[in-house]
Amino acid sequence: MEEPQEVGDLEIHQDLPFERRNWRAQRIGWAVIGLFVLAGLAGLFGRGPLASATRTSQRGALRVDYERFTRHGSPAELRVTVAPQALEAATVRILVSLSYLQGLQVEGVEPPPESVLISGDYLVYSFDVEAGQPARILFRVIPDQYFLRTAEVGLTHGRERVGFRQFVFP
Amino acid sequence: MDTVFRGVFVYVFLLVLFRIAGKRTLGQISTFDLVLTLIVSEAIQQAMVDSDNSLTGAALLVVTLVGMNVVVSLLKQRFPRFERVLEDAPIVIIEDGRIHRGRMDKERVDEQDVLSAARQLQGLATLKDVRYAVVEKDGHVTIVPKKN
Repeated sequence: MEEPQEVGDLEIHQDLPFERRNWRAQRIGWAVIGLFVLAGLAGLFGRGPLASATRTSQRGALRVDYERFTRHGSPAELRVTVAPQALEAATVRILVSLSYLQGLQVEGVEPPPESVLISGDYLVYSFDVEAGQPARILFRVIPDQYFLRTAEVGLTHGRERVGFRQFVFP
Repeated sequence: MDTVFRGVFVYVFLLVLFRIAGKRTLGQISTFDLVLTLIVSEAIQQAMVDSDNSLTGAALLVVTLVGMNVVVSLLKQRFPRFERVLEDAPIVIIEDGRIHRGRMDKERVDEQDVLSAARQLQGLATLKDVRYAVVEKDGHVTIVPKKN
């Protein structure tokens, strides 16, 4: 145990040089806190402007709106839009990479698919569509696995593909 | 982004609510401290537990936390430096009647806090009755009265 100082006739374990460093460290800490909160507001940790992103396939038939940054256990959304010109038949088939899907819980797909098929490394979701309107599909998911996740979404015909990456904060 | 808004909202809401409810509702603890303690423990809980409702999970978590407590107290005992970094050190803000304003500002303690401590701890009426005032490690102000 260190020896106490004598301040007047008070015996006390005061350490002023340490306190000065302490105060400076606290100020730096406050700045870090401020930055952390600002980053959160901006969406760096998900659910904000910095996190929202879009990818469109080469010929524009497929568009995916996703979040670059998400958090484990925290609801997130994946929106897939298929342009009307790409809807040839009465059914549209969307494939999503299995490795991506298995890293999260799919809470729901809106609208519900007519069927879900396992095709190699992909899951194929089939939806009935009416021609002439874009098809909008929403996947409600809860990320499970941490850190960098790679995803691929595509259309079975026309071979349109969109790839993206997501970072899942623990 | 909404996480920050929720935090701010809950904090302000509770602060205002308990302020309106008045002093007697709180007793010993200040609104300020209560709000922080209350909501931090609530905010942290789900992150720690993460949908594990098993006895085993709970036991593991509790044992880990208690273990951490033991490790930290051992480290504090062996390394006085560590104790100081972890828990801060006391600092004298009134020395033989002389007030160290700079230190009081840095510690965010004002005359009101000192007078309140003087009344509570020593039954003293004025600052002139205070010989030493110290901001302790835990943030409380302690008083050594002037001998008369």
